[in-house]
Amino acid sequence: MKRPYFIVIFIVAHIFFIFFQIHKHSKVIKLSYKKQKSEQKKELLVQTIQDLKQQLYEMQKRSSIKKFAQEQLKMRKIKLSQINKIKIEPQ
Amino acid sequence: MIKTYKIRTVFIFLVFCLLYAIILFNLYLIQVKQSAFFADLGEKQYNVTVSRYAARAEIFDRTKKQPLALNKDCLSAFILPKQLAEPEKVKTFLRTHFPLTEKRLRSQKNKNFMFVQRKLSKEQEKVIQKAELKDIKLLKERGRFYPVACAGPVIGTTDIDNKGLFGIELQCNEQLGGTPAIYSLEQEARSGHFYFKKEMHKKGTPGKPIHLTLDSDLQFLVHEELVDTIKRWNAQEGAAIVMNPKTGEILAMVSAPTFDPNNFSGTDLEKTKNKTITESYEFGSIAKAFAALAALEEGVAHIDEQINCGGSKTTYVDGRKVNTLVAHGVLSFSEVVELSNNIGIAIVAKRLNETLYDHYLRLGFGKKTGILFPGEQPGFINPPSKWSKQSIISLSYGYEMTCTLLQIAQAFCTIARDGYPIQPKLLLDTKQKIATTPLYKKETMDVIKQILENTTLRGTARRAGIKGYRVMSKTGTANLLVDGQYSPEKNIYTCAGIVEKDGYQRVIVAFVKEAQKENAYAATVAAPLFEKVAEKTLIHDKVV
Repeated sequence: MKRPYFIVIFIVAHIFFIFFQIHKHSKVIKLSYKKQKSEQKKELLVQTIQDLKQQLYEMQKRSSIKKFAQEQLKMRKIKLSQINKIKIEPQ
Repeated sequence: MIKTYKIRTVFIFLVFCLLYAIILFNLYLIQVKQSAFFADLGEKQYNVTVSRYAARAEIFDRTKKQPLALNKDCLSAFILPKQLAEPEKVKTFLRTHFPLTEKRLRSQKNKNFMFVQRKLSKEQEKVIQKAELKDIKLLKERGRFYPVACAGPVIGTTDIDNKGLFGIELQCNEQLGGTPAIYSLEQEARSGHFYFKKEMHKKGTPGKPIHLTLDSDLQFLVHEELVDTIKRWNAQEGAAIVMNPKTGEILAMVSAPTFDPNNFSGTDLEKTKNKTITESYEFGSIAKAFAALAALEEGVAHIDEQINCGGSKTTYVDGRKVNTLVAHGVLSFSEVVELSNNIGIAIVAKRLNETLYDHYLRLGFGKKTGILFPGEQPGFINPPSKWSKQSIISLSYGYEMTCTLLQIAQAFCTIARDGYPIQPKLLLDTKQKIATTPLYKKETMDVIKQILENTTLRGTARRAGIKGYRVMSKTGTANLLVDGQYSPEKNIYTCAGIVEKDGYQRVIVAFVKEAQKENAYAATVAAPLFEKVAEKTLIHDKVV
């Protein structure tokens, strides 16, 4: 192989290597950004779950349920003496 | 002409040379002279060490489904005092709604950053949003939400940095909070939101959830009954415990009046106390049950033994004056406890002398229960070395000794378990000491149970009885100490006992302090409360 030809190939190969290295690095950064965005999204979703849970348990407060049962459904407190145990004999 | 041209060329050349020289000089300054400074600056902008806590773990009740403490994000308001665009408007707003912050702002004008209020309440959030001030900025911080507010004194709360302040939140702070992960980031200097490289230095551990033995439904039901009783008697405060004596598990532990753990700022700290553990009192005649137990175990008294109670409200026992509420003549030993006669129990206690102190210690009084709850009181029993002639008499009906409601519940668990003691348990997953040897003989236990059942059937605890169930209970009315003297106007009313049916057992202890109405005795205040709590417990547990 002629010497000048070899040098050209050597230089071109290096240019390609440098190009691929830069390409690889930019790809890594791009994917890293994507990952971080997904992480942020996940955090946001976790927060939403927390908020929804809080709303759910706020609505399930026993005092609110009691108020609803007594005022809307006209339910009354039960006494032990009002409970009768019924035995159902198997037929 | 040519000469002028040459001069111009040389001049321009020199100007450019000079410019290059300046650039080179600057480069020299930056790269060589001040290289350390700029390298450090770049490092700071680029490399960041971050420590990050995992989300604080949740607290659940015994069902493992109902949360008692959850995470939630809270808003905090802040200002940048040096960069205020409308300082007068901000000051006026703060003066009206956050006067303390306005005071701070006046004294620290040159601060770069200042919190207006951390963890804003909903009302405060609305006020800030309505004001529409650009200088007041909001940021999100981690906080806690407590769905079962009446469990507040047991669960406790966290401080502004989300660390346990009291209650279970403090007791299990390390387990709930976990340890932070520490890593370094090669941060993108421009936005600061993204990074190029992340390197973990120390792996963090996430917080572990806690499961309590409490039943959140029962907790609510017992709390309601307690609040009702306090209202009805216009009392100062009260507390109640429901325990399963077979396992030592505490199913309900309530104090009233209580606080809202979701709106903690400005709360009266007195209301945050778990009164069943952190307050000890002289509970009065409840102690007669334990004095009788000691007398029966030591063989110094018999259930049917006839004791002369003097026939009056005041008698002298060994030269010491003893008062009792109702005058009785000759009573059997069982009746002495049933009718809560101070004279009768004092006569028997005299026979026990220092042994009574040993029995109180054996039942767990005067020392912590081992539940490890923050602020637990060990109580106090006057030791024989400090006794006066009155001491043995006072100790027999619950004076010169203080104890917590939990200690009374623990002692009643020993009775329910036929003499085998058990350590109270609040954390579901912890192992506890299980005694293999009984503290008392089975025969003694059978007798004391019979006496306590009689107390419910025909004694002072009649109103604690429930038809169809075996209830073994004892009441106690005790004067409170005011300025070093016992006040007959200020009392504490207690009822403790065991409810049984077909192998089902529950120990219930309830007290009410300082009822403001007439005819207030443990028999009229605490016994009906005991009965209501027992009814609620039985209905809840479907034991009908």
